[in-house]
Amino acid sequence: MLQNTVWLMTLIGMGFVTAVYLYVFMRSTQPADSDAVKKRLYGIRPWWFVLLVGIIIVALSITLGRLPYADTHARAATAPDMTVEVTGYQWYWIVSESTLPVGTDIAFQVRAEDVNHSFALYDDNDQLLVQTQAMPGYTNIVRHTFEQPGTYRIMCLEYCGLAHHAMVTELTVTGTDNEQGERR
Amino acid sequence: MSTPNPYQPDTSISRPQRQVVLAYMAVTGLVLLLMMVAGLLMRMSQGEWLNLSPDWFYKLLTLHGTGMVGIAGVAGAGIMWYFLRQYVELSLAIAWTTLILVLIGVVLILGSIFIGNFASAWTFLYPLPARPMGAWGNGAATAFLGGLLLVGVGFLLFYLDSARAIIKRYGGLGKGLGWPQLFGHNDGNAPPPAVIASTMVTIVNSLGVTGGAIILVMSLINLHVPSFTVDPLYAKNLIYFFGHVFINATIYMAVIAVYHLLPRYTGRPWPSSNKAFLAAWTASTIMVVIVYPHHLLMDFAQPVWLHVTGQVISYTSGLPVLAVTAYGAIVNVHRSGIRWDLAAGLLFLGTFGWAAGIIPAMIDATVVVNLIMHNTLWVPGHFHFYLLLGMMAMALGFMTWLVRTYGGLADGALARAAGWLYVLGGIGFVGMFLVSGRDSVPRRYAEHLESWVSHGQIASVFALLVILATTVFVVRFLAGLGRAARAV
Ligand SMILES: [Cu+2]
Repeated sequence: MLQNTVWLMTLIGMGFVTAVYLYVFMRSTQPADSDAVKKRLYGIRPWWFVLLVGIIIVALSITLGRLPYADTHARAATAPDMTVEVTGYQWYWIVSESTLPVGTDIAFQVRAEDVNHSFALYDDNDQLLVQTQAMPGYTNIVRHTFEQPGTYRIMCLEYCGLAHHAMVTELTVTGTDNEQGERR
Repeated sequence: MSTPNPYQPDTSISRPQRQVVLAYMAVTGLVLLLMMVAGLLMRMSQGEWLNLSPDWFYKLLTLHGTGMVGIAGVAGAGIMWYFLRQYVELSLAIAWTTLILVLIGVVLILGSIFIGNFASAWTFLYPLPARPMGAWGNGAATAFLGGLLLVGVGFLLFYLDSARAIIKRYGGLGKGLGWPQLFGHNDGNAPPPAVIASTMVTIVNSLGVTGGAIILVMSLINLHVPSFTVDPLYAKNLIYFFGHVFINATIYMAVIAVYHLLPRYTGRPWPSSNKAFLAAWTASTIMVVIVYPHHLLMDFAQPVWLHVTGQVISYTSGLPVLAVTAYGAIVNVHRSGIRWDLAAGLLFLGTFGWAAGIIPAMIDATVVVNLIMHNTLWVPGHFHFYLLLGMMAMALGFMTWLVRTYGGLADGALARAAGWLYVLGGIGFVGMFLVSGRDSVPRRYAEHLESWVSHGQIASVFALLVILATTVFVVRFLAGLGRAARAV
């Protein structure tokens, strides 16, 4: 799951910064020659700076190749297997099809009628799978393939008024998932 | 080398000038505590330890967000004014006018929320203020947006006065950023950090506040002339441009206290008239203005180049902070023989909070990550990290230094214990936001699913620790305030 990767990377990064700060804090009260300290520490700055820039370039080149937007998507050239229209209202969703097939490349065409909402797909473990904003006057298209049958939910992730948190609707994903691996 | 005395009063700032700064910081302390309590109530409600109705939850949410952003702006302005005033002729009358306009705006906002039931969150995303499904009226929405506009006007005056004073003293904003030394021969005479940072903030916030004023006025017109409509995506761009620039700038103001105070503790000057320092601040000036599209990564209808800009600039905008400010603080402190006190500890903590908070921020600004993290509690996780443990730590450190230096209020065991409690509570509290984000918990939800309730409970305990620590800081500040204001 991407969430766990993100969490791990954050822990590593923050752990590193914390370790450096703790080390410096613990040694801070033992004086050394100021000019020597400055010369040494500022001397290594260009090296780690270049290393950091390198890491950033690698991270950008990996992640920018996988944008989920329709017009950059590799699959944009191919038509989706199925299109589902989703419209957000205060405070409910209208979905053109609420029983969906497993293993099918579905394009959700997301709109809103009144104010800003956000379409977020959750699985039955309360895990967020994919999202896009729902905005009046615009259509945001997000594509998703359900890998397992089951009950999924659309929740609203953009604050839209007093019943924002109650703006939930269920989707049922059915079918045999023989092409998609094993059933839980 | 003589032992540094960090408590040497600044003779280049007069008593009335110090008093306006003390007023800014006193307002900061009081409002900060109240807003923290509002935050605790929300977290307790999510943890089902408190039964807030959704309308009260969203009213507190609106109050907390608006109030904290506002108070961060006030704290930053107080710090900036204190140090910038020592180099340029700022207007005392304008400093008071800004504070009074902000306070009038606050009264309007409080009225809109508590009397008018207004609850659009600080984001007031168009057209929600005008379409609340009967939860509040046009009058309440007008009071909120009008109050915010007044706050904006107050701050705009403040920045225009800084711009005027910097231009008068240094001959231009480019010179205030040290461009002659950056792009030409470095004669070592670039302006001091307070001037460089203030110039940056003046530039970005004049733009940001103006962007905010435009969308506030358009929303206000829409409230009363419904036939006047705004493109929701355009409105959202302006709101996040304004919001991002304004809140980001508060850190760039608060850090002035670190640049100018930490060296007084370590006896090591902070090298600032060098190309790395100047380049970092010029780069930040540009990046803070153009990074806001990372708030709209999930608006798939936006042009892809804007999304790419949002991610790339988010990745790079952390670099100057790390290379110049966090690393600068580390070099300044490392084996310096520093004698720590609460103020120095909070200032140093502030640079840590900023540097560490950048990591979850950068990760979230990655489009493919944003797809599963946007509008989850991951987002408040990263910004509370660098606001609570970064920006506010710096502001509280500055406040502690003020009452120590001018009020003679030395640290006791309680102050030190509160310092450590703040670190512990703060890391635990923001950590629980990040854990919640990992577990897909949405932000701005009055009611949480069963599997998320324990997150809110643990977070509430840590929040309580933060509030206890902050109470000690603020009470100490208020106790020393009178003497600090009267000191010659
Ligand atoms: Cu909603």
